[in-house]
Amino acid sequence: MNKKRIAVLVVVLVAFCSAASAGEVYGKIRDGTSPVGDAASVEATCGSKKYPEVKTDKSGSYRLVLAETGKCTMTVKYKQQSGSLDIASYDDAVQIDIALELKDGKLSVRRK
Amino acid sequence: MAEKSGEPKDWWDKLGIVLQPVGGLLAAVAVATVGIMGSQVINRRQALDTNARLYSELMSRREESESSLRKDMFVSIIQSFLKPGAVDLDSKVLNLELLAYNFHESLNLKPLFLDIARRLESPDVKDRDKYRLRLQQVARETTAKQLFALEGHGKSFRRTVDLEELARQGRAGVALEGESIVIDDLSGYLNLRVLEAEPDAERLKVRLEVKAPEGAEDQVDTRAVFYVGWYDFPMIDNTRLANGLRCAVTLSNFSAALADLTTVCFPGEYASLKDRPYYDEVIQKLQEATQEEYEIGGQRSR
Repeated sequence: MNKKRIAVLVVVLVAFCSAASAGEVYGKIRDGTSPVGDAASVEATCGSKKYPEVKTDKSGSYRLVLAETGKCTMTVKYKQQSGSLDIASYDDAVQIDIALELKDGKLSVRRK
Repeated sequence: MAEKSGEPKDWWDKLGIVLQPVGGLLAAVAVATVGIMGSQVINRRQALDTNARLYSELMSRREESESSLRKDMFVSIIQSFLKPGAVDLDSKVLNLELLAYNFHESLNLKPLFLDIARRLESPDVKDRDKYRLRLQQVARETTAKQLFALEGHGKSFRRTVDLEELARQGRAGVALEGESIVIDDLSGYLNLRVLEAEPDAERLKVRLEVKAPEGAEDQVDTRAVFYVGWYDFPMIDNTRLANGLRCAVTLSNFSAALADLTTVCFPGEYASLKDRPYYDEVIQKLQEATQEEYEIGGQRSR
């Protein structure tokens, strides 16, 4: 009985660790040259799976953990506007810094 | 004021009699004060000079002992690679890890990485994946450390390469979104085109084009074609631009369908220790520094 419990615990731990490192996407969002602070939020969609919205912190940084690897879409929301960007998710973490620009009332999202 | 005998002395005469010895006394005090202050300034300057000399002596002694230690370490490690046969693969990987962690800023270790990677291809190698992972891990850590240091003094940008799209495009390759780089008063526009992918070796053939800014007729465009893999380190393996900046492209991630490239541009001073500046660049910098000093001195005197 004890061995079974330990085995289950090990499986859960391994699954948790791999989920924490796999498909991590992180970076900083800037409005022009200055960080957006906690005024922006990001969400990702990989295939049919949609990941919940994550707010940026005071420095404008964000972190998403995606279970899938491959092509995904990231949507950035800022000042009642939103814009999307194609991103790649890998087994290892990937840094995606973003530059935002408001052009004619539309939000342009660009990778830096 | 000639004094006539018998005439009573007026107020000015009396003041003159009193001030004559006081003036002498004041002159003596002034000379003594200037002397004391002057000697204090000289003493302070001497103390500062002595401290600076002592500090530089200590630093150069520390540098000397560190260099000698590093030299001994380097010689003993490099011999393990140059001696034929004898050393097993595990020791070679360990020695490469030692070299990479201690000398990554001053040596191009790519040939050693490639040599061990080639040895790992041999069919009789056990634990091939374990060694490959160790090599890749040390290479990625080294690249990350160098990028972190260089990004503090320059500018970087990251791009994703769609390898399936690259395969569809064939020899034309895939153009990545360009980026404008401004560092201090130097600028340029960078374009990257990925021409080829080698999934087995996990490397990409890349063309880097740097366009001189508009109106800068004295600067030429820079264009270079090279392979980018895990063992290309930005401080060591970079392209020297016409304006003195350096740009390096590094591999950040690689999967079957996608790859991520990080491009960093930085002033030439932050390139590796093995990379010496051109003499004309040094002379130009000295002239600029002298000119700046002259201008500052001119502004102060106005």
